[in-house]
Amino acid sequence: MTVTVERARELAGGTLLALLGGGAALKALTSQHIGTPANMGPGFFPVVLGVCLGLCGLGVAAAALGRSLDQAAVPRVNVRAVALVTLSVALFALTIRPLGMVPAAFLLVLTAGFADPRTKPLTLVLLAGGLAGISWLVFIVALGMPLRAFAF
Amino acid sequence: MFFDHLLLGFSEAFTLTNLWYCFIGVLLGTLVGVLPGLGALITISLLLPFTYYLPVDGALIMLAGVYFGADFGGGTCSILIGVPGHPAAAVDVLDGYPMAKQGRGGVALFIKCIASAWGSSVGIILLMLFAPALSAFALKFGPAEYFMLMVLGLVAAASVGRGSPLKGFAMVVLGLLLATVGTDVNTGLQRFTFGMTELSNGVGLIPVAMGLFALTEVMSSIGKSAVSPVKQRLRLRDQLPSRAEWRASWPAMLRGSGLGAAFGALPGTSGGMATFIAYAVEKRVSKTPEKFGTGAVEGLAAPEACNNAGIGTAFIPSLTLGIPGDAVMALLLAALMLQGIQPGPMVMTSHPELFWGLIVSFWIGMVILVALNIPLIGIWVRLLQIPYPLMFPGIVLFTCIGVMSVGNSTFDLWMTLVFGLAGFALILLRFDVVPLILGLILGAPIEENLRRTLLLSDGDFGVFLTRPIALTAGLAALLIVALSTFAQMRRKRAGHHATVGHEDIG
Repeated sequence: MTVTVERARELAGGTLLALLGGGAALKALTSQHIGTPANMGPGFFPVVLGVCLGLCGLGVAAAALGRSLDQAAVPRVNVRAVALVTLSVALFALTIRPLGMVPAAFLLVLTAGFADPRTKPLTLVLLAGGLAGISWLVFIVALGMPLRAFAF
Repeated sequence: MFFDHLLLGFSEAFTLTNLWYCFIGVLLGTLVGVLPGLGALITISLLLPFTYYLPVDGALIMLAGVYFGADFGGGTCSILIGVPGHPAAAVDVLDGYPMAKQGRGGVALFIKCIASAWGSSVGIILLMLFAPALSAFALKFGPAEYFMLMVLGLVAAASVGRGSPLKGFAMVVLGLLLATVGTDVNTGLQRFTFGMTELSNGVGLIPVAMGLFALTEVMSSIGKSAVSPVKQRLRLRDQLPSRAEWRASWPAMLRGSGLGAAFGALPGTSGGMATFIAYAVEKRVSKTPEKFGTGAVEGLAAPEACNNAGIGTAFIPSLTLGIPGDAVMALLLAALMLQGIQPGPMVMTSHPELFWGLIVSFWIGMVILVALNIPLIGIWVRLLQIPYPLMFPGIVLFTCIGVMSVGNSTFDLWMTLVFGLAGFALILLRFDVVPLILGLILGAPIEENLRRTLLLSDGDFGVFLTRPIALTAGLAALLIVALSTFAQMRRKRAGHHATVGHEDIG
């Protein structure tokens, strides 16, 4: 049996779901009251769902083992994009309280913007300033959201 | 009675604020529909938290306007660039883009707009006729009926979507499982919270929707190269179709809207599946099937009418039963829930002004859309040139601010990030994330109804067999599973499986 990209992908996806489902069912079984169908405890529905999910995962994995699959291209992940978008959201979450929304927004746009290498730094700074200004006007001034523009 | 309601709708929709929300909705919708990389789903996810700050009728009118507007605008991108703005507009590329390359882009845009308006009208009329009756009928449903109807909705959404039904079903179950996180309503006990107090209210719909639809989409779209639109002359004179084109497109619109209306009421048919069926039907009945794919107006008119008729009828199960058929409907119901209104048949009796105001605002929205799309099309075409590198940082920013605005908690931001990354991984593993959101939104009511059913029947599962509506829904669900498994196996045998439509998540 050859390991094609598609087979590996289906196996990985199926196994992941099987583990997730099994884990959820186990966690619900051990920590919750199950009850009877007539009088379900909080654990009943989660156990049923966990088992269902586990079976689905096993099914997906088994289907990948059982049949011949077409060749698929190796999926390309834009690591730079994923990493910088992740970083930008994390930065926003970390800075919005200590710095306020406007600086946090500025940092987010600056960081996320670097995900595309074609954007020039100056364009990015202008974009970050513009978007931070617009969000201040729209969300704090106009919509009156309970966020502080500047925390210092 | 009917006219009283309509009158109520008029008085509701024609208030200055609601007209304004309707206008803003369709304008925003057209804008994001036209822009490649943005669509109704991502925009409604982005707007959802802000609707919390609006009156409930205005919020719903605006979101529905975005849905219709994005659909009108989405075709523009397909026709002029040859790349669909969102999955539902994918079919427009087949004949619309060749028309644009032949210099008939104006005609294509005009036909698309008229077909959309026609389809929408059919859908809205059906909604007006059937929704009140269905919701009156649904008031008699007990928990057994609700449970089975929700199962039917989820099974349909899982099976009819893209990719294998098993994977769709897995996503539905994952969504249901996520919905069990938090405090159990019956006992007050904590489930799957792992000691985090922030999770006791459950996994929020907004962080999940924003993560799965906005962040995931951005992560997978960055770096894709832009394509510039085909140059077109777009004066009104260039847009008017010839007599032959009219003759070809009218019957196509009729057939398309009939098909779309039927499909729209079924859950899970979003993402443009019905439109491809409409296209195939049109090709089969045509006397000149060889012209399809080279710029046949029928190939544009039928799917567009189909798509929009489906939007109208998709509101029927969502508004009368509280069972959303696709992700956009799920988010519209989430907007209602944010405002403290539990979706279901009660909505129409306890808030008739909401339903009828929405209906009337659909008509107003449509008039605005035709005005925006035919004489003003030139403006939208210029917007096609906005580069994505300048747009996506804004999307990420509005995602984060939106999440913050609902609960004012940074925990929600981290959740959004987790779901964004999880969604990205799921897409890489070729799972469709749309069924997950449907599972998440129906998780609490489905569990509640199951518990209540079995409590009343004293644990006897036979109750589902003795109640005719529940039994019918259950059998329909089984039939869908059987049919989709069969179709999947045939597709496998034919050798070309699951290669289409996976690249975009809608």
